[in-house]
Amino acid sequence: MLRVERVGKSFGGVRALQDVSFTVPESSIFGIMGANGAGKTTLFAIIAGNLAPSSGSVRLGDLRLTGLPPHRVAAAGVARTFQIVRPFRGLSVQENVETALRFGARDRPAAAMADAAGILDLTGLDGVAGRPAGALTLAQQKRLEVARALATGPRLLMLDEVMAGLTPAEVQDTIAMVRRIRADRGVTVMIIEHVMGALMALSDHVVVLDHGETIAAGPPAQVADDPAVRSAYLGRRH
Amino acid sequence: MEILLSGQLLVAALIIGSIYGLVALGLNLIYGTMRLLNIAHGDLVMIGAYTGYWLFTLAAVSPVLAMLAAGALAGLTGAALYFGLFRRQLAGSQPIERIEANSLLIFFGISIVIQNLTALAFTASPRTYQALDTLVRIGEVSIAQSRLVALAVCLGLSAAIVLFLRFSALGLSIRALIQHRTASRIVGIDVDRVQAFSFVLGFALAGLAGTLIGVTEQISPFMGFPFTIVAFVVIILGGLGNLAGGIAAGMVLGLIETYGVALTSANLRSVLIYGVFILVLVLRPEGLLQRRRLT
Amino acid sequence: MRLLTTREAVPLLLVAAIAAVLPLLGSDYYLGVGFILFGWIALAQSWTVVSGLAGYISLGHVVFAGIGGYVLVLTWGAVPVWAGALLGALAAGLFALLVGLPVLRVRGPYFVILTFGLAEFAKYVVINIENALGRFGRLILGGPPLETLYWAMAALALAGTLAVVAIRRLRLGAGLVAIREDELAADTIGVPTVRFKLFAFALSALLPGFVGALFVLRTGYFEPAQAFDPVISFTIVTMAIVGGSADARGPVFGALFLVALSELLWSNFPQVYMIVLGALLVGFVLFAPNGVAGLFERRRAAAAAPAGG
Repeated sequence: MLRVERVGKSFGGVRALQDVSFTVPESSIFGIMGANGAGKTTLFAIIAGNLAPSSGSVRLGDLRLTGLPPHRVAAAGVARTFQIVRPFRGLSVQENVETALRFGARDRPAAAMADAAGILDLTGLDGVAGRPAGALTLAQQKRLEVARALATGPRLLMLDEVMAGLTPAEVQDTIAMVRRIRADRGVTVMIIEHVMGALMALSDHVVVLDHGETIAAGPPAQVADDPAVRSAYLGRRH
Repeated sequence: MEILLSGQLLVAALIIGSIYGLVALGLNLIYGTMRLLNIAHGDLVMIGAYTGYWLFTLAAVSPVLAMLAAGALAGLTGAALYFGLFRRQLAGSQPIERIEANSLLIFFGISIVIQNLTALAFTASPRTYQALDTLVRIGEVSIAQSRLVALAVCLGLSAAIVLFLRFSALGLSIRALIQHRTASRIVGIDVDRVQAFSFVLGFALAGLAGTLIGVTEQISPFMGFPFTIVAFVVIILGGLGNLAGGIAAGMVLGLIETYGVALTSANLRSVLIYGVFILVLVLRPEGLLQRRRLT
Repeated sequence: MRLLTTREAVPLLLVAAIAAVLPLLGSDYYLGVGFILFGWIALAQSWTVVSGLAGYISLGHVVFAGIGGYVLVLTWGAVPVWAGALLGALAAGLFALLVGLPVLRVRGPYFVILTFGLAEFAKYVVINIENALGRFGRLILGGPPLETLYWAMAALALAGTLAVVAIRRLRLGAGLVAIREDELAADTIGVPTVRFKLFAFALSALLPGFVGALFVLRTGYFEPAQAFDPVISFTIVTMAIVGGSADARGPVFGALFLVALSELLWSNFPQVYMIVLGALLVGFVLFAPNGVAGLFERRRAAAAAPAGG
């Protein structure tokens, strides 16, 4: 459904992404791996319209996303979370979700736009709905990122390190949550994660970035065995 | 047309530019080290101008000495505000954007208080006085002594401060704070002390410059704001924390103003200054600090 | 959803009640005070739209009132009085639309000082135009009587309050609040930030344009330095901050409080009044950033919450 075609991005001469291409199949969970600075978050920012690519293009179905401002990308059904969380701090958890429900994707049934309770339940935030977002724990704020993104009614949900800094038990909860999101809502998920095991367990497909370039792509098992990945990424980290 | 080519105008521009550079230097220190947007900065210029006026009128003290008293008075005001209001704000855990925005409103309130206290004490009527007004001839250019003093003091003081920041230990700490706020704390700089010093020095410089300005311009409780605006323009043009760049930018603004007014009319001076200010901010919407966009 | 929540009903009823009661006191003094009070309420409510909801703090809101007043005197005699006032409002809104696009790109504190600079710039431009025309202040004779102006201003205050109540309920209001909380996140969940900001800015200029025209009708003359006096911007900000700028109550509370203070101090000790205002602004920003309305809220929350909650 999402096609990334030869995307490149440089910041003042420094190449953050180079010639990155891949296709995310409908209803899949698609993992993006890579060390710090490999260009993962830059890629999300480009898909979401927060950054303009220096070259290449991104398409969602027949729609060219490249060049659209973020709110138009959201209207087309693409949502993202922020690695460094950006909740609406002064608003309650409920209000955060309700705000996103009023915006986001255009073609949604009316019922979907009144589903704050369902989303809070799915993300395990139903117990803290009335609390100001700024007063949540980091783990809760990460889930609020997911809840708010989900509330925009996306066809494609991009999760940026939603498990970083969580305890192993919380990571397990989050894995279950991501699976439920796909099962219950039929959403395609793209996920950036440093927690390797989690990513391998969740993903149907994986792309590995290294210094802004794709060095491997395929099913997790195959990618994990790839010698280039081992030397560039696994070897260094584990 | 002849006047445009004469040395007279160029010297006038240099004098105004050097004053602007000094006024902006004080604001640059305070904004740079603490991210406090002091829109009351021009009111310290006003305080300095009144200090010079009263010392001359009542005790016949020369502005050259009065400016030291003005610097001390403005510096004391700075110390009172830093320790009374801002120290706790800065030590708290608020995000820097919040402090920036709040400081603006707080200084707006302070500015109104200072202006009206002055009006209460000395009435709102404008004042002028004649000191150091003998004309000095240098070649074909003749300049009032007061302006020559202003030029010498502003250039000398600006240079001294640039050297101080480059070579003294305290100066290096100030520059470190301007460039890497969080890192400074980690490497063991006494942030509180450096902030207090920068705050007081920034205020003192504005007060001192104010005396020099007051000799040649009309003094009133509400004269300050254009100088605040000028200082912001200079910092934006010259670059945050770049004090030498600021002095150069002050000169550029002095030239723009002097030649702009000479080509049109003195009435348009304010339009010109505010126009440049708007243009500069609209062209650099990220403001003083070109922050890297992180997403 | 209830027709009106308490926090929506209180300011609306308060404005309506004051408007109904003051004429009963049967003196021009009270009508005059009411006229000023409603003017401030309309100005502060308008300010709230862009500065309270969207968080783009304007220190130059006087520019819209100044434009409204200027258009009124320029069209004086050429069009009927109320058409002139309406044109003033539209001109202010149009001005906001034109300058909004470049100006609203400027973020945070820089936007704040820019608005101040913009208002001063406009002031000096008008001063120079008037000088070039050889006009030093313009007199207006035969404007509507005080009572008519009073009701017109009361209507503006009510309209402003109603507008803030309504906008907060609309998608526009939710979007503006999201922009205030985190503009990038707002954009990313689908809030058309540029359009919303511009719309809010233009909206917050309309009523002030009208108010400025009425001010000129009341004083009977127009003088640029007075019509564009930055003290007016300062007073608007202080009212909204002292009252609280999160919803429609704050501006009403703030205006009531400051107008009472002004009646007490302004005629005899104008500087003291301004000093108190400055001190109030500093104090509230430091110690009660949500204003009087926020203090109520906290008290209520404390009373409603169980111990430890």
